[in-house]
Amino acid sequence: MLKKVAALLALVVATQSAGAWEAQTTQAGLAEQAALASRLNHRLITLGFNGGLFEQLTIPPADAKALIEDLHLLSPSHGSVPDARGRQTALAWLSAGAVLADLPASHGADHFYDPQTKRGWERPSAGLTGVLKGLSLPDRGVPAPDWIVDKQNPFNLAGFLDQYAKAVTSSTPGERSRAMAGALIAAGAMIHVLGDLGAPSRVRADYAAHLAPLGGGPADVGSRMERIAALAYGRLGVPLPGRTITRTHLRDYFTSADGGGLADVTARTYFSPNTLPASSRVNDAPPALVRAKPALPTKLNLMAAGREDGTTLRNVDGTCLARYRIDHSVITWSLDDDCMLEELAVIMPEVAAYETGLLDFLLRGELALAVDQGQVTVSSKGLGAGTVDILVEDDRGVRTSIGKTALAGPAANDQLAKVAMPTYGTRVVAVFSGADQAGEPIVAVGALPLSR
Amino acid sequence: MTLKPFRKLALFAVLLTACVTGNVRTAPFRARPDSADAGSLRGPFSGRVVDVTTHAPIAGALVYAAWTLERGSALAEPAGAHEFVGSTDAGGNYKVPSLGSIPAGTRITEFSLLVYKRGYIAYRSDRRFSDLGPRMDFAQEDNQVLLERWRNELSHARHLRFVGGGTAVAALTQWELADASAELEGKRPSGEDIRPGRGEGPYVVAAQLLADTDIKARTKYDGQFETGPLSDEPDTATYSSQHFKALGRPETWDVAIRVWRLDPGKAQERYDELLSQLPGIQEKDEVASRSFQATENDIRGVGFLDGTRGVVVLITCGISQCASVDDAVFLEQQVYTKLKALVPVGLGGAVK
Repeated sequence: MLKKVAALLALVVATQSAGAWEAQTTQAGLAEQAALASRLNHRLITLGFNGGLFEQLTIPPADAKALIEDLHLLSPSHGSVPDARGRQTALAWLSAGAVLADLPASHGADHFYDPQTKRGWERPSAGLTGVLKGLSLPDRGVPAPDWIVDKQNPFNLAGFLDQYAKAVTSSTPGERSRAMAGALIAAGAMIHVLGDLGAPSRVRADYAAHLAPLGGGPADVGSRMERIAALAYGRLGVPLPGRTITRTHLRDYFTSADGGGLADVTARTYFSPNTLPASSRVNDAPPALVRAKPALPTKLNLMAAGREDGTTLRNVDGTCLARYRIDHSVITWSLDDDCMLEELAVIMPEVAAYETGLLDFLLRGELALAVDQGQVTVSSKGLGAGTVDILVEDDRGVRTSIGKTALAGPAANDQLAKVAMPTYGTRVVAVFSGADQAGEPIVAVGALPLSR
Repeated sequence: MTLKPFRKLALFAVLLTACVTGNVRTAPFRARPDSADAGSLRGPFSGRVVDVTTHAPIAGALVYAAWTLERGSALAEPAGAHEFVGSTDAGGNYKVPSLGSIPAGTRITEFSLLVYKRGYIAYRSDRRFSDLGPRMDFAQEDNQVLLERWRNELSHARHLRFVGGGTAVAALTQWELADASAELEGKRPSGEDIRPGRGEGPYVVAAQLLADTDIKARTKYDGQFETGPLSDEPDTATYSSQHFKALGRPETWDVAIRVWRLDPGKAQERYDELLSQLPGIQEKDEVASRSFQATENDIRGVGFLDGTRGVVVLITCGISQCASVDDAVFLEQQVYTKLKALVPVGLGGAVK
């Protein structure tokens, strides 16, 4: 099976190109899988979006002209272009956000992070390749973990939290629908930025790997590995995450001191095309490494490397890391399409696991509402300073605030607020906006259906 | 030296690269089923749609094609898309014309074809439904599409992801949303009988009834149309529209079609509303159950009621495009002919 796919790739890869994990295929697929594996469906239903991931949400085109224009730059065949009314499913809005993160193209430069230097994209020197001639590329990019909270990022964390809170507190169903769609776009864009750090070239400062001439003409250059991912998995074939990554801080999903961020893991596990071990003579010292990891074994298989096809360097799990062969007593290293395909089979589920984890992290805030002696109580664990807004929804779907409470710090007994039970309505909802006990910004939500 | 098959293909790919011209990538599919040559992303495309079990041709299936455009280097970005919406003829055949010119600085990076008929699993040119793996057997011309009948144990959530989007596709698959939601909540779908011919209703969309080629064949217009739904009212389960906007020309070159799919009683009411709302109207009753002609300033309007099928159609055509009312009536008759082919009487009846 793998060989069949490899054959297909061989047929086409040499002639195509890409920039990041391809937005409309790989990134959209990753976002869909993250959504399906996350708590998003349940959360939407709790908040009154009864169709869950397949609830139709609307952003009226008149309210967001530029956004809708951008969305119409996407191919409808991948399911994230709204109809003329600005309506599509919640799943499609999340997927749309994952695609919009690459618009404009210059934002793609903000999806790199080298954990060793803690820097982002830097324009490769013109000496590296003639491909640079005539290309308009940014000189620098904002490091990906910083881009998530950067004010210049139209889909940053603050925007997500604002829209997410409004998806609960806005008065009318239409306003809440629009806000939830906006929150999902921001969430999709954020998980896109994280997912990009699963590509080795993006975390090993290998910017030249994104200028690989791929055969579709002089302007058609990009990352060969990311194009292979698009061909092998497309949007629909992206694997489900095998697990969900849980971290305490948002930034930890990207990079952390314990080396558990996606950028950290990717950078130390894989080579990229231009960070392979240096060529060396057989009898000289071991090949020089640009980075300490992945490390080379103490002994290379020089016998096998002497064959015409050379041999393969594999990690402890058996995944191909590179090919090497000896030619005229010189050991040379390469990363071919088959090897990249093996790596992708391991990388993609891991990227999906991180994206699912980040999506769950964004939605982690949960409030418990209960009725006790004619009072509605709101409680939750792990929250710090912030404000709680409690609203009642009437039978038209209109929500009205019935109480607000400011909290200076963690609440005693985890009880955040209490209001008198409303005399009307079909549902009580509550929103906490503030910080969690780890100091991370958070919006926590909860709802209580009323039976009368 | 003996090359492994993989390497042979790689070598072939290098040869293909040398043949690449212009701003179109090499297609990941063959030109024909029996050919080793790569096809063209531009098209044209043709094929036949049959039932996988009976091999009977499937008429009236939606044929949705989309070309993806991209621009930029290294850090590339989406640059728009072109769509084509059509349907299979009585023999199950489809044709998708070549894509014309594209904006400067963009390149065609992808083509995908979707074939959908309610009661069947959709077909995509790039992926298989069964395992979501890459489809290897799609061919640009003389392609064979084997549609497999829907089974109730299949997942609507998976199917909706599979079909993707596009207004026409979304309109036709909207009925699956509730079942998909129910699945994610761990509930069984409603179990509605969706076998072909059972309770389908006249499930057609406007883009299936009128194509730009129909208009050009009649009016001899040699410019380009930008197509898509009208912006005044979104497509729903009972309404759809298609706007043929003449590029670089005044509105008097535009054509639009609106289709309402209702139960027969409501269709009659809708038709009567049109009669009372449209200016300069004359009842002619020359097409279907009832029909009319109308004129307002530079726009000609024609419309008909098909009472048996519960369908009302309104076509508007600018006077530069439809120089005479006969042009508009000709288009109307073509639409009615297609409607009759797509929705045979007795196969489904009205929309519930």
